[in-house]
Order: sequence, then C-alpha cells, then structure tokens
Amino acid sequence: MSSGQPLVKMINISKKFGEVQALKRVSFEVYPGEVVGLLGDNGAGKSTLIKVLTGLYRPDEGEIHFEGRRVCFSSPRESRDAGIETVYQGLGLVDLMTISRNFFLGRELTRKVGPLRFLDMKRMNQECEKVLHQIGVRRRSPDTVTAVLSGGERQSINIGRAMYFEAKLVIMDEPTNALSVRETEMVLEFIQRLKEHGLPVVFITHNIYHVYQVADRFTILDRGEKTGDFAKKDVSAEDIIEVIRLGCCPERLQHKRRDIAAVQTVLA
Amino acid sequence: MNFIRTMGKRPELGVLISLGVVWLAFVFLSGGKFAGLGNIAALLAQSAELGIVTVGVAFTLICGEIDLSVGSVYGLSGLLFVLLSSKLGSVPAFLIALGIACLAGLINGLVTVRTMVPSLIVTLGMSMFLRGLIYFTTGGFTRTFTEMDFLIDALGGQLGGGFYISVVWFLLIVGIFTVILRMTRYGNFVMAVGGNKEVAKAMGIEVDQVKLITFVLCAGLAGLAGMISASRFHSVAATTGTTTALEAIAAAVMGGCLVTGGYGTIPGAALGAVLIPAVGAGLVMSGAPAYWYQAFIGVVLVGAAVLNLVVHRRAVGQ
Repeated sequence: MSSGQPLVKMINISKKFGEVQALKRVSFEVYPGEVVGLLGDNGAGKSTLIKVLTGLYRPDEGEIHFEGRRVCFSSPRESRDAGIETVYQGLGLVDLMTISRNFFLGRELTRKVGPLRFLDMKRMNQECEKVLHQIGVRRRSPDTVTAVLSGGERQSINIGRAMYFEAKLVIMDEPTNALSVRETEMVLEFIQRLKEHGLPVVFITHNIYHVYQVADRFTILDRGEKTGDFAKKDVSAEDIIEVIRLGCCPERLQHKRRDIAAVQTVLA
Repeated sequence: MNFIRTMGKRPELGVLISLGVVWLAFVFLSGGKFAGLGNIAALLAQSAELGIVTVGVAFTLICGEIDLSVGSVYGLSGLLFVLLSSKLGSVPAFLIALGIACLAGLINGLVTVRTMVPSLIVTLGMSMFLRGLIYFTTGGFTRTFTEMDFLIDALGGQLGGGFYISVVWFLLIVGIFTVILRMTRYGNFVMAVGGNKEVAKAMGIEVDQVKLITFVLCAGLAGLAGMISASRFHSVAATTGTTTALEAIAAAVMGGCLVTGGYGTIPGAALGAVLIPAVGAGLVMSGAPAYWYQAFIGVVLVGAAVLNLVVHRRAVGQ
C-alpha cells in the first residue's frame, strides 16, 4: 500500500489557536483506495487536521499535496470542487430542506431562461430519485424534508452524494456518533462499499472497534502530535487503545510505526 | 393529522384561514361595511406598502437574521424622495433614495457578519440612528412634494375605484421574490444558511455573502415601499414608518416564517401583510376603540407563532 503516490500528503502541519497549539508538525497521508482511521481522544487535533485539509483553517506551517500537486484550499468550496467530500458529524443535512435540495446543495442543477438561471427542480428530483434507489433509500421521495429521516438514511444520502459527484476522497467526521447499532453497521457497510469502489476514506472517530473493522491503516494523534501510524496487520485494536490511553507509543510498538520506520529507511 | 401535514407543507394555509375568519367576523360586526369596495381598496393600499416591506423581512428571517431598521429605512427613503424630487427631479431622487436604503442594508449586513453582533442589535441601532436623522432633517414636521410628476403617479397613483397602482407593484414583487426564493440558487442558499449555517458553509456556500445580499434586498424593498407610501400621500411625516418594522415582522411570522430561520414562504408573508391592516380597519369599522388594534395584533401574533411551531414540528415528525 505504501507504494505509489499518496493521494493526500500533508507535511509538518502546525496550527495554533491563540496560545493553544492544536497541531504540532503533523504529517498525514492517504493512499489511493485505502481507508484510514484518524484516531485520538477529544482535543487530539483530529478535526483541526481535517479542517486544515478542507480549507476551513489555514495552517501556520506545513504543506499540503493533493493528487501530487501542492494545494492550499482557502475554502471548503475549493476542496469540494477538487473532489474532497466531507460527511460531517451532524450528518451534513439542512433539516428543513428536502432531500433533493440537500443533495444538490451548493451544486444545484440550473437551466437557463433567457439571461436568467433557475433551479432545474425536475432534473434534480429525477437524479436524486435515481441515486436514492441505488443506495437503498427506496421508500423516500426526493421532496421529503430531511428532518424525518433516520440516521442511517441521512448517511446514505451523504454517501450517495459522494458517489454521484465522483468524489476522490471521502472524509467522515465521527459518522457513527449518535447512531444506533443497526445504523452503525450500515455506515460501516457503506465505508466498505466506498472502498470497493476504490474510493479512499478518512474515518475520524473515538470508537476503535468501529474503525478497526473497516480501516487499513490508523493514524493516532494526541494533543496535537502524531503518536503513531500503523498498518492494520501490525497491531490489534487493544494496541491502538493503549497508544491512545498512554498518549504516546509504547516501546514494544515502536518498530511497528510506519512513520518512524520510513524515517529509519531514509536514514539507512 | 393529515390537515396538519398539509399545513406544514403549505404555511400560507394558516394565514389564509385566519384571514377568512377575520374577514367574515368583521363583515358581520360592521354590518357589511367592511366588504365595501372602498374599504377593500383602502386596505389593499395599506397592505401593498406593508407587504413590500414584509417580503424583504421574510427573506431576512428565512436567512436566520432579523431587520428592525426597515421602518426607519422606509421613512428615510420616502423623505429623501420628497426632498430631493424638488431639487433634482423625481428620477434621480428615486435612485438616490433607493441607493441610500440599500447602503443602510449593506452596513447592517457588514456589521452583522464582520463583528458577529446579532442583527437584532445592529439593526435596532441602525433604526434609531436613521430615525434620529429623520427628526433632525424634518424638525419633526411633515414634508410634502412641491410638484407632482409621472414617477410619483407610477408609484402611488390611483387606478380608479379607489384602488391604487401600488397593489400591482406589490403583486409583482411577491411573484418575483417567490421565484427568487424557490427557484434560484441564491434562494436555495438563503434557506440553507437560515436552516443550518454550519452545513451551508461545509457545502461551500459563502454564508456571509448570502447574508449581505439579503440585508441589501430587504432594505431596498423597505426603501421602495417608503417611496410608494410617500407618493400615495404626497407627503412624508417624521413619524412615517415608526410601527412598520414590528408590523412587518409580525406579518411574516403570521404568514408562516419561523423566527429561528430556514423556513417560510413569500406568499404567506404577503398574506400576513394583508391580515394586519384588515384587523386594524375591521376593529374601527366594528365600532371598537382604535386602541384595541395593537392588543389584538399582539394576541394574533403570538397565537400564530405558537401554531406555526406546533404545525411545523408535527409536519416534520419531531
């Protein structure tokens, strides 16, 4: 998996909020087709790192490369246009709007009438209906208000959106928070499906057991610093929990760290 | 339950029913006078001016903001239209007054999005500031057009039978802004920003820009309505528009706009703007003391807000 160009390469990212060092020289990569678990306790810097990547925050230091090019997204709109689709904690839907309006929010289909542009509601509803059907939200019409949807259905819409707009990377920020057991299973299944489609996923969570089922690799942060980067085959879920609990990488796992190993290879 | 669901999807239904009830009650209480053509014409003239303001106010509410300065913008632009018409002619006066109204909206919007001070406070300050300017300029007196011309007629002239042309402008604006809200990207953004600002931002919507445009539109409509009012009366009083902001907000809420943002319709808000003058006129014609007007509106307003919320919660199944 380490062979080939990484899709995302963040190098030595630092970010300070006032006196708080939210990120301290953190490097982070995502390779094509892999699911990366971004782990850490509350305040570890997981969300900050992702917000730096998607252009919500500007890093104080460091470089970001996407698809081999150096980038600096200055807004979520730019990162989204580049193909980074984020599924937020709150499930990323405006409750009072319909499914199809949410689906196309920010990327509405329009048609021209003279010099004016109007929403093409008919086409948006049709396209949305098609996707709803594919992703298994069959009993909902596109003009349903999203407030009535279950957590799993909301996830499905987010994932359908990522597929429809041909995202290159899907970031899921605590997607299983506040979901029932069955809905959680659905989300994990969807991540599996994205992976089958070759879509890389960054899965941010505290729940090691959820992420362990689907991820290929784990990056662990603690108080703004990277404390580990492991391939799934090298560590157990318990090992990861230990790293998070200790706030550093125990001696016995040091040689498994991919980030350290890489440095050592270069030095050798 | 079915009825509630229908109402949840069509928020203008509630205000339409209220309007029907109020109408029937006042026709009965006034011994038929209320249904007279003259009264209807007078009511619609008032509704048109309040209604044009209400359309803008509804946009700000749906966008998750509030504009308390529309009454002062209404008064000021009417005043500028009257004062400048005699010096520069009516067309430049109209454009300048409209421009200054939009400028007030732009300042409201810039201060709100830049400082994060709630628009409730920003626009309250703007309202007081502009009203102060009006009192200073007029010395508290009424100002009258020195001569009439085509534009003044086009804005506030009579159509015959006591009906005013302003009703046509009102309907046109309701139509245009209904389309803008429902059928354009900007309208979609307004609903998204008011419904959930964070999600809107994550979806790449320029939230601040949407809010700015909305404040400018709202103030522009208030300015236009103020000039229509000035044209209809041929004059502007120092107190013109002092109750307009609260009435417009009341009308929008009665028409189904949620004060918490993200939801509402323009036809509903416009019907709210018909309901309020109807209640005022109806009470007078029924022989009730005019003082009752505000008390009555207050009760109807809170009732409508509660009803909206209940209907809305049921409709979305929460």
